Amino acid sequence: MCTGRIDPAMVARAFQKRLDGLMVVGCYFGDCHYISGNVQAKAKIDTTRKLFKHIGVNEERLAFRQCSSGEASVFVKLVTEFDEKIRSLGPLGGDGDRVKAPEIFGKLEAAEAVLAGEKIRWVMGKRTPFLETGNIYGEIFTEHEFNRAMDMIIVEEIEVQEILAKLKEGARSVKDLAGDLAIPSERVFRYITALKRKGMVALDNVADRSPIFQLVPQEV
Amino acid sequence: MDDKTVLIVGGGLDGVRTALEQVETGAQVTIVEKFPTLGAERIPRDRLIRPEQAFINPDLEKVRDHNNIRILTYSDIKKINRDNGKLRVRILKHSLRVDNSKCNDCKACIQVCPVNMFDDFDEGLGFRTAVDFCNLATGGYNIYKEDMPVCQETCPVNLDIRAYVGLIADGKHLESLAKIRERLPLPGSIGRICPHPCETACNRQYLDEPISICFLKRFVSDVELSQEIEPVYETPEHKYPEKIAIVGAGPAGLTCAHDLARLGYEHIKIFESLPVPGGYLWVGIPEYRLPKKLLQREVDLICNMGVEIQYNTRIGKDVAFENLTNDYDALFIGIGCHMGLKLRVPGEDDYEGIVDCVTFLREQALGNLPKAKGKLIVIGGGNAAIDSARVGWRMGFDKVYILYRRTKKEMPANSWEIDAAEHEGVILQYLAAPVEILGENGKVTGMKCIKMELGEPDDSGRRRPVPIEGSEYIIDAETIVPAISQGTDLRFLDEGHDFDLSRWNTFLIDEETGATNIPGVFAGGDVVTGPDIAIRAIAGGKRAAVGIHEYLRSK
Amino acid sequence: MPENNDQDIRIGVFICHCGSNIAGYLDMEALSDYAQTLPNVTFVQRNLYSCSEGGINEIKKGIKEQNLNRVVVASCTPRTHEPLFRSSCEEAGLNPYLFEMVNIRDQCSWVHMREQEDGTAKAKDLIRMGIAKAALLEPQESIMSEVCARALVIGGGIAGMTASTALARRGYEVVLVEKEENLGGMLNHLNKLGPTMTDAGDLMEEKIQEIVQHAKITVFTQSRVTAVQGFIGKFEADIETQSGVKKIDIGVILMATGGRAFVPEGLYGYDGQRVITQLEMEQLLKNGLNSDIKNVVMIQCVGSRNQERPYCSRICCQIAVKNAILIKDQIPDATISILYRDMQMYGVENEEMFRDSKAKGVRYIHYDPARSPQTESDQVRVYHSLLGREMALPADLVVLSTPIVAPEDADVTSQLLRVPVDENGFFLEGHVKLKPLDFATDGVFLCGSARFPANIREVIAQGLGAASRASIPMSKGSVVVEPIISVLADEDACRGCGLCVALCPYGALEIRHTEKGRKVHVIDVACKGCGVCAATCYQHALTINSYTDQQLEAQIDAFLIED
Repeated sequence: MCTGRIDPAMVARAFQKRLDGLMVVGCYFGDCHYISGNVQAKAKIDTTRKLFKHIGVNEERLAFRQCSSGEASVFVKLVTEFDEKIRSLGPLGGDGDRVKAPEIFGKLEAAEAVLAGEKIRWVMGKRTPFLETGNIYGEIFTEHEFNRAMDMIIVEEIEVQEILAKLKEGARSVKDLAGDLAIPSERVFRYITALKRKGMVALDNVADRSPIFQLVPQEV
Repeated sequence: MDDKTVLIVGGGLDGVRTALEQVETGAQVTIVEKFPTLGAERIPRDRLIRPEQAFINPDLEKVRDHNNIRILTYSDIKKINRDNGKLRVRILKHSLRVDNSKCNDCKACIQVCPVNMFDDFDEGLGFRTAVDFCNLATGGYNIYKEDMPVCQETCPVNLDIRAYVGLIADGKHLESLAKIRERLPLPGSIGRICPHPCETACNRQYLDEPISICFLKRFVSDVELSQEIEPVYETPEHKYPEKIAIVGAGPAGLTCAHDLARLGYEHIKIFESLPVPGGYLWVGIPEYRLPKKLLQREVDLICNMGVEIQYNTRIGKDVAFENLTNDYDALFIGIGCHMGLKLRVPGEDDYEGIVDCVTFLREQALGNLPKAKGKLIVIGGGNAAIDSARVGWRMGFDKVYILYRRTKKEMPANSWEIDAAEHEGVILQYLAAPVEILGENGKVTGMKCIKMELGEPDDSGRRRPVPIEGSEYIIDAETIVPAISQGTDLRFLDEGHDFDLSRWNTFLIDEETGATNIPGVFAGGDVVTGPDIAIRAIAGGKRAAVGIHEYLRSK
Repeated sequence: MPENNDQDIRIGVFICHCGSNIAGYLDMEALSDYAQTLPNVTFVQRNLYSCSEGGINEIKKGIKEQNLNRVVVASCTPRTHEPLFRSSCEEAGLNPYLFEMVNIRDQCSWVHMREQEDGTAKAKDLIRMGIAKAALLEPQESIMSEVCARALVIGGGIAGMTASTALARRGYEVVLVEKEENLGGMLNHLNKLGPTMTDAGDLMEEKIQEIVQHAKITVFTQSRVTAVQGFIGKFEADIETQSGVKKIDIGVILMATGGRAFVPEGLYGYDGQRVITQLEMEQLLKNGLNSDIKNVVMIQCVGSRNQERPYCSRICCQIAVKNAILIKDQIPDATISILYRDMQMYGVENEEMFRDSKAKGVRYIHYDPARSPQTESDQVRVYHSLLGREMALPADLVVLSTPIVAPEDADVTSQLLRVPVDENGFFLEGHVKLKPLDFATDGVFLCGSARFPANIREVIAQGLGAASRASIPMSKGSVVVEPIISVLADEDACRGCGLCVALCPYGALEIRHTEKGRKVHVIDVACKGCGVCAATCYQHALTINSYTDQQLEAQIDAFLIED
């Protein structure tokens, strides 16, 4: 097993279950016993950190560090520093985080859904091919571009997951969703139109000239 | 009226109905629709209509099955020309990126599609994904794929600007340079002097200001210089035996030679009339804009690929043109526009001291000019005029004037060049034109000028300058440099040559291959386009290289 | 889900004292009392040494008498002891993959020697996690695969030639690929080999003759391996030869691509004439020295042990001393000075050669890299750090000892064979001590200077060793692969998108067309179980045996239980 096995969804799940800090320590690049597993791990942790930052979890709680099996002192330093960092941040959802408990755990639930979801996993998985060999048209993406696209996807995915989570509780109008989730209503509307098109959300009824939307159960 | 043909633009409800009406009258009908299916989005299950309420226009089937109706979906109209009472329409039909015959409408693709974009159907109110269906009832899944970014599209050689600028942002400078060199062998030179139409097109300007696309090229090539890396332009192991002659070692010729060498041609010879390479880059662009040393380095890189440059060889004088066509399998003409045009005012041919800007800049670059004395007048508003004036200022003329018949706003030169000239002390006189050259004892003493005012716009959209009667005045000067335009010098051709030429004395070529009407002879650069920017000449060289390769391989 | 769920989970926990290694620092009684309280635990036992015969018998007895169907041993590192405990379980009739190991020695007692309470608490956490995972373990079957009895040796230097002949003598077919025109590699350029002063040419000729005459060895010179597919036992290699590309089935691969001598362009006025490298010195000695040469200065560590190449090339000191002696042999009155930073003269014979050189009058002068020697037109200026002053040494010839560096195409080879290189571009073995001649990739072995600079004697030993390692799977005829690999746990979920295929570092995944459409297929023997695919699959269709999402989540949950 390699750090490459670390599934970001599992990471979010652990934090959702009250983990306060996680440090992933992998080999140095080019020194990986699984050749490139650490590269994948780093990319996945980086994305998870971005997502954490977006949802209000202090991203310092999640770290990717590197050291070799011969570097005991480096390892000790890494662990000591991380331990001090987490102690200074305190428990998850306290002073160290932008969003507080218990709200933060709802956010982490959405984060887990995002990280277990198809879209972000697909894009994360395509990172190496896009950066190194390019897409099917041979267009190579720069890290810069990829990160920018990823930033956008993170915001969209979290918001979509939050909308889906809300709709799971019952049918709602765009206005209600916007109010509940503190997302501008035009953005909610756009997500809803996209979700409708995907067949994941449908019109339930029209109440007082406001369309009410409901979740469409998905076949598994 | 059995030869009546009708084109219907738009395959929506009305388009379909009109098509059926027209075909009833016996016409041949073609429907052009920009979406991949007909019927537009009239049956949207995902709109406020419920699926069971959706209906399908029965006309759709009729249109599809009709023998006299041709349907062009996912097509755009590019150009409409009048042609002798008829219309000729150029239509671009895109190919779909989804094989709809295999699609089972499972929507899995749009559920995972990471690209959310504004829906073009509802003017961006909602989101759609890059892969999407166009019409539920009639299917039509397609992936919307962006074409080249505007900058790349604007660049004559279609440099992959997105990638190389992005690589710089990633800190990968040398990778960025390698990316540029995939299409441009002279990054350091072009990065200094290109008027960068790409930046004019850059979308970033709508946010703050355009990306400095041009100077970023210079930056990465300077990184290589400062790290003292000696690059090698690779050539393939497999070689072709054909001999290729190139006339002119300017940007077009050098690029053509580079591209051919990279394709595997090893017998490439460039004939250059000057003792230096680079053409206008060397003898037209002043040292302060493009250091000769740097240009020489980039030329050397191309020469190291096995390209030979024979200097001081003028075709038609030192080597006969027929020799080239006889001795070589293919020929590229990239001689540029090195003949300055005349002012056509009285006194122009009578006195010593009038020298056109091409000659002036060339002789200065080659170090042949005598010491500067007295005052200098440059006439014109292009970059060549500014270059001449700024060079003149550096040579030590007491006073340097630029005369331009319109205002600063209309001046074709790059604004930063105009500002620099003004800043250095060049006196710019706008709305002024030469009337007569004055002289004594066979030497120029000054010029009579007239003031102008702007009248109605002309064909180019610029307001036409009109002389103000009685406003003549005189400027004293010992040297006058007309920099009004340049033309081609085709004196090397025989009187009875068979080349198709334009009325500006430039070669007419095949747009795709750069081939002239004489088989095996190709042309590119200013000798085709008239005076233009270097990067466009480079594009001409590249196009001809591909053309020559295809020509030689299909022989 | 497996049938084990139907029967009760009965976990036996064996907590090892490791003498006093663990018991000396942790509260063992608290640990075993705690383990008793955990779900599914039916038996807890403490042992002095679990890995001793007595300890092993206790585990076996426990399985039989207590009817255990999961075993957890809390002791030392699985790296050294997991195979032993697994086979013990197997001997007692339990599937070896129903075993879980918890490391409470390295991770608890050793690092928390002075914090008994915290160390014990951490050990409890780890044991709880191990038990949580153990409950979900499933039996696995070992994977067998046939091995083609043909070896591919890449590189025809002394390492590759030695390995080739060793393998051929055992009766295996060998395909030897050399990129140059002739076999011999670096030997082509060497004179005499220290410390025995054997003639390099003679040694090379002998080896080449044996190879050329051996019926089992096929040699391709001026050739390269351009593609390698497959896995241990069933590789297919594309070899680009002078007469086109040949596709050859291979069972094992030996990497013997060697290194190359660093050319010190721009250092110490290197010009290949008066300032030369030790490699060029070899050629001069071969041709016979010009008797005008009276003063020779050698400079050690040129281009090595610096920021760019921090490593010591190890063998340059021996070469310098050997060449100094050979110069003395040819020109007895020559003055030879060796400017060094540290003399690396390991081994009895080399020490002897070093003493011998001093007896012959070779001078050794220590220099400080901060004040490195300066070569001038006829002399070398050096700051003598012991005398504390600068000296000027006359020099007719300056010889620079440059390091062996990795071959230029090491990164290409690395990608070709999917094996790692270190920060200096040398190949990285599977484990410094446990697998020094193997790569982590099964069926690929390495020897010679491709790993690190080595002298002829070491290279030959490594060549023989690698050949011996490589012949193990070939003589067995089949390989057993640990089944801790990727599996397509949910075939229906797989969409055959190929995302995992693109990311697999070992080429162990491929898309196959099945009745259910495109599905990923795991090539068991090629998979190393890194888990990148499982962490990437957006359908969660792939998982890793013994490291499934459920098992890992159970461990995490166990850790996060508030106590």
